[in-house]
Amino acid sequence: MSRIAMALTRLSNLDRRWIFLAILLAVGLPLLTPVEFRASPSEETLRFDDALQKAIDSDKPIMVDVDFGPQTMAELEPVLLAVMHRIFTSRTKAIFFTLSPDATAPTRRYLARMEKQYNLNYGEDYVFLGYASSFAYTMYGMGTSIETYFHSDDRGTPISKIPIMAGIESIKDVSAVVNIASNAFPKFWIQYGVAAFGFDLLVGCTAVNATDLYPYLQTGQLKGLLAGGRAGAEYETLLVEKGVIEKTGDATRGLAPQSLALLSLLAFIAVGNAGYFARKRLDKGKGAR
Amino acid sequence: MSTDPYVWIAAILTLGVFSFLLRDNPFFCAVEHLLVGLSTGYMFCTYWHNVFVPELVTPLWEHGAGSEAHLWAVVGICFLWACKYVESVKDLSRLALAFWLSIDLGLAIPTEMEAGVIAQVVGTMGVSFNGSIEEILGNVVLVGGTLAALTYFFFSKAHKGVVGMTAKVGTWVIMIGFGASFSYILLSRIALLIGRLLFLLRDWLGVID
Repeated sequence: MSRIAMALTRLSNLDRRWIFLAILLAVGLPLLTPVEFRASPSEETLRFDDALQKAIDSDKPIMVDVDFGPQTMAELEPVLLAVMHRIFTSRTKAIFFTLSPDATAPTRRYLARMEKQYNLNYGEDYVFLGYASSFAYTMYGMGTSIETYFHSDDRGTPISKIPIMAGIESIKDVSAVVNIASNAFPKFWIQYGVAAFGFDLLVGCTAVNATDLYPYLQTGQLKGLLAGGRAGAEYETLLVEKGVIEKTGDATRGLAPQSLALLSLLAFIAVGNAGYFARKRLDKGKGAR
Repeated sequence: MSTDPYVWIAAILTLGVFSFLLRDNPFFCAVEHLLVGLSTGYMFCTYWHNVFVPELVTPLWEHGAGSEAHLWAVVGICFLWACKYVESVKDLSRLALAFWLSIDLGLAIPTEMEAGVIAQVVGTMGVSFNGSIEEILGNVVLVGGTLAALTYFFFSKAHKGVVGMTAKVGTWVIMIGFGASFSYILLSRIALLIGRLLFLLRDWLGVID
């Protein structure tokens, strides 16, 4: 028994670099193999899609606020791309903008890809309004006037000269707002937008922010929530089932490494705790002697 | 393997960041400083071109004496902020701070009351105890957990007896909440690692499709 305790104690003092190596292997090896896990769409993912379908079915354009930069691209890029495919496959008009300066360049790139794939006309099928500062005032102000906060689009064209913006004065003139964000902006959209103007808000967020947002889903302040890479994988599966996209993307590809990495972490946590209790027991034994 | 020089730069910098996992080293420090410098420069240029020039400088230059004259007040507030760097007039910067805080609080308090307090209380009070066993149990946990967690933060009565027991349950509810947050953080961080490894293996080395 004491030999097991000693071994556990030694393991709990393992050099952290071994843990890094284990996680690297747990994530890297599944990527090198053709193994792919599938995530079946959960109730939340279906709810998100239903809310998006409702927005698509109305004749109004959808607004998409992209608020993530390169640092969280791995988690949110698949979610945004899935949403873009869903919108553009149905030929729904979409107005994109960002309230995070570092999201401007990635958004331009994604939209250029979509324009090519779906043969879209800039200004008619979609527009990118670019970046606006002071997020709280912008969110609140867009409830009464979009043009006050975005005088022109990302290419410098005045809002009044963009065909898709004809008849769109405020956020009340769009069918829904979709916010794909790595920060706390969805919460601020609820506070400064939904509470004041009562539109439908759908959110794609990083897993870190998920626990902060679930209460708003329960109260109905959020109409749909895709939280983190797993939800992204579920949505990809759903879109493949619906025939929107042909094959799943990076979110689904990440499921196997994610599962293996989490299992490794669970094992390390279990060994660390067992080692802690074993050491306590050994110390107690020494004290008694 | 990629022939794009930008991919090579990104890959080398990624390896530079990962080198910290072995130990702190000059390569990592160089990459770290590069990131801070680039981010600051990028932000400065973004604010300059998207905010400062189009929202303040151009309107003042073109219509400063007419329809946009009110923007001179913004310039005045900017000068008040800058006063904090001059010892003899540094108290004037408080006026700018007061102006900013008053607007922020005026906007935040009513909206947060509406979205974060009233809607949440109504949402918790309005849960239904009809439906499947799963739904009923979920709603019992929701209402019971909320009450228990609130009891933990109720300090006007000693945490003894029934109050103490409820507060103890509240502690567990809060701990489970923290556990859920922690596991979501782990998921997020692993997702970032997957993204970087995909970049290295696919975009740089080309060993996977």
